[in-house]
Amino acid sequence: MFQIYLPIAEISANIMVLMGMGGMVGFMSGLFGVGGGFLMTPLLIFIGIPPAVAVATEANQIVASSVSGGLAYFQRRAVDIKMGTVLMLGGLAGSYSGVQLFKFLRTLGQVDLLISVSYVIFLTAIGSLMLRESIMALRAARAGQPLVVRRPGQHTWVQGLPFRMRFKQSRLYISVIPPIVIGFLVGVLSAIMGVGGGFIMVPAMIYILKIPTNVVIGTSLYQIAFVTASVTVFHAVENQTVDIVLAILLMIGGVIGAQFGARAGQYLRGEQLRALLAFIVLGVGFKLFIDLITRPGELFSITRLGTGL
Amino acid sequence: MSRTRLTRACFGALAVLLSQQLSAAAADLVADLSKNRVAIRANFSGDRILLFGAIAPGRPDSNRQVIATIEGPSQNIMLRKKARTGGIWVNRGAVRIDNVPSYYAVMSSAPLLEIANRDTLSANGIGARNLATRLQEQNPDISAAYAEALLRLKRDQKLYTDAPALVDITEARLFRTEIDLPSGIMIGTYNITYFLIENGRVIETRRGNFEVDVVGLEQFLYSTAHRQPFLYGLLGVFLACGMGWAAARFLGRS
Repeated sequence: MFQIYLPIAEISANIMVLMGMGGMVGFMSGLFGVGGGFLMTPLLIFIGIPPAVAVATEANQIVASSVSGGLAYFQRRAVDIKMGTVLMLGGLAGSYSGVQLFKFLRTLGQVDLLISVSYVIFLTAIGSLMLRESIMALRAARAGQPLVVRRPGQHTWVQGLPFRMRFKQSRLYISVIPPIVIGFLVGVLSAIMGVGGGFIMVPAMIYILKIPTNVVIGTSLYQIAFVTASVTVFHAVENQTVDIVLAILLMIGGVIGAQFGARAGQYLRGEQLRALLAFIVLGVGFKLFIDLITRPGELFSITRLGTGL
Repeated sequence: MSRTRLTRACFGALAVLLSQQLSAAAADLVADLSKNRVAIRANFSGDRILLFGAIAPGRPDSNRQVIATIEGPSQNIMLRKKARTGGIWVNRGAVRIDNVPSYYAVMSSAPLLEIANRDTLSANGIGARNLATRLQEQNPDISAAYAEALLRLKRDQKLYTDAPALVDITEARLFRTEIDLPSGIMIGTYNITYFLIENGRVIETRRGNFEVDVVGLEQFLYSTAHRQPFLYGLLGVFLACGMGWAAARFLGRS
């Protein structure tokens, strides 16, 4: 039989369904170059995994996919380790804070709300920005002019901040405050939503920090790998909600799917892919919003004290 | 084991039980189980247990029936109710209920109210309704709506079986019934109480039990997750790094 018992979620699920979900989301992550956590966590909750377990376990899965992706960039020397480490330090502080907040809200019975509201806010915000950017890119491509990203070296308010450091690989001499703050924010979201945070970090690195695009993704993956690893450990210690069996099944599907997705991505143009991804992000955010404002079928819920599931 | 072999084994066990019991102080009901340990393994998706036993037939005009209840390990829960706040549906009301059976099932040889009246059932705590009443007595701040919701949620998860399953009584002597345990059952001791009912009165009760626990790899993971969570977290990260490295090495484009 294809049923497997998930010891932390304390339910049994179908192996094929879980690997298939991992594969589907992995495919999308390979196609669009995003982590996929923002899709997987809501999907896991939808099939009946308790939200706290979905968030923590998904963080564990993202470690695998970001290590896999990050290694490829690392081998090509396309990672700014110094910048990645600064981002990561902010991220560690953020993930710790996020897990503490998560733990506190579990005692109040409001952790589902925290997860849903965070998802609605961020998916809608990021999805709208992505849609706007991809429409602009599509228009520019149609007019025959590629969209120009502001080159590093241009001065903005970010340049005026103290505590500067030299980042050779990014050709930057900027304050460490912005990367720490960005890393912190991404760490908090990672802990609360079970995502990698790349969809916030990549635009922030390009537009706020002005990191050259060729090291952006590799550096982002470097940070995500460490931060999601810390999220996994913190959730395991504070909440005991990481289900390794579930994580492994998702990882297997995910890494295989990502390979197919990356190959399929070569057949579509960048702007089309980004527009498509924007629609998907907005769609998921919208669906979660609708769920928040509609009267649920069942108003009551049981939480076990002790395990808190 | 096949059904016939199982039935024959039951009869064999019964013969031994009966001969032992009849020589001792006469017990009118004896009972046993097909297994007294449910081991949750990796492929666990629920289990089925056969409950069986014998009742002494009694006088020719007596109408003897059997009721069996199973109560799972107790848990303390928070029962929460959503309400509309600021446009969105949020958990507002919360009640803590202690000592709630995680699992409850009633099986009887005929519909409950045909066997005994409400007072008898209530006095013996038989039935989900009486379970709810008992919980309300122990926890006074549970309103009827909350108690109702608790029963409903448990029924939806198949953890409280509502419609009594059939206990077959053969020739007024041998009884048997099967209980299907869902996959979401809690680990611990499950207590069975058998009631022998004659003409609406409980004339004998017997107790039995079975254990549910996790074994093997699943048990290792479960106990490490709770007793050594830091190591467990590191294990998860380590496995993920290994998987990620392997994927990059063997599946990646060179």
